[in-house]
Amino acid sequence: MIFADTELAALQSDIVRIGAFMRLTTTTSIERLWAGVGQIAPPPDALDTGGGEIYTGTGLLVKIPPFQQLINGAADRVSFVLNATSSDIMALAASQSASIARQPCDFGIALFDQTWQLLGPIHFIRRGYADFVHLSTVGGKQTKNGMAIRTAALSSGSLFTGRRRRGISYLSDYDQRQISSDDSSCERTVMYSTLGQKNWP
Amino acid sequence: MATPADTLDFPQFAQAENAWNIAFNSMAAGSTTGGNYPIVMTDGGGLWAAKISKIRIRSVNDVLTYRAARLIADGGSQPLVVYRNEIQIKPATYTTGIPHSDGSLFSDGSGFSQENELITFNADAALRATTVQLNINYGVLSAGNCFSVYTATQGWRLYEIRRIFPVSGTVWNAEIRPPLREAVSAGTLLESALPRCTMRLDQSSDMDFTLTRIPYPDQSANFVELLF
Repeated sequence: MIFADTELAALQSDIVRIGAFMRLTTTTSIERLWAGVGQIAPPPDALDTGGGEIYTGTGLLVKIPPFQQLINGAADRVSFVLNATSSDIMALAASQSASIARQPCDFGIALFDQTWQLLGPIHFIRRGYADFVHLSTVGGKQTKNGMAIRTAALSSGSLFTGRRRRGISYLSDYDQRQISSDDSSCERTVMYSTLGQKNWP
Repeated sequence: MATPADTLDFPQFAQAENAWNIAFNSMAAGSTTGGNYPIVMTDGGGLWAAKISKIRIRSVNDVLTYRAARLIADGGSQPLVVYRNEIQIKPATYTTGIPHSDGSLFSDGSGFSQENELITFNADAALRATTVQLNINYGVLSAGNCFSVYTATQGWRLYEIRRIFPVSGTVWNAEIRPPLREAVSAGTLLESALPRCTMRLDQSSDMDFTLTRIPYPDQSANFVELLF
């Protein structure tokens, strides 16, 4: 991920105008959404090398979760929550849930100048894989304005999400004597304090 | 889903008050030790929100009109073309005393009045452009004025002029907000006499109406911009 000088200058300014972009691949198409208003056609990036692809604005109410970097094996699963979804998006989410499972779901940012013109391409900062779509409706009595709110949440993991890894453990004296009855090498492991950090891989 | 072509107009209620504002989405990180106050904006230019208040209901016809308008709005499920009714600062001027085709005037000596306004895009403008080149053949546009543009996919969209600079002759460069919702080709006509925007009712209960005894209470309605 390389930022141009103009993008770095924008990041260092007091007012940062930033756009959040999501690119979801399904088995039949590629859905491009961004957390702004209206449509936008970013320049070529790492995934859309041709450029000119249109990202559709989802409005202002997109909840984007914090990401954990994949350091020391932390492989998190995050959910992108889209509030106030239209009936079209709800239909899409309900009907295409099967077609997005284990498909690439990429999240990126792009920087704007003070006149809302893009300074560069989308920089994808998280390359995940879609798991499932969760649809829900919050009833009218629970919301501020009395209207029911529909939400669609897309769960996205990484390549390592869901892998099985044994927790840290110690061989006890009992375990070792099951292997070799006269081996006393583990008789003091019970005195160890249980603390450790397993670095990846 | 409705399309721009079959979107109905929201009635213009005389003397109603208009509050048109762009809703932004920004986050502040608080003040830094260096004295800065960084702000992050993620809205991409914002969304129009309109509050039409003091809609005067004075007669039975007003009641019927308001109730019909409520049904057209359909609880926020239908897009509507809402007019920004700011007659007092409308940029267009008028020519008066225009006669009939045979040269005659009305019996009181007056003629027709016609709006002097012919403003077009002088050059193609890209999607999300915030600086556009205009050809102001007739009429006046200044910073703070608003205008509308009709495009095939997004219908009527409203823009406000931030700054405007002369280029040459009738050609001017205008900085506008929010960014253009759709690309516009050169020659496209601007609508500044009756600026309008495609919107929907903000909340389904926004036009609830209780029929009381005379005098009827003033009504209000809130709208937010709707994009196709």
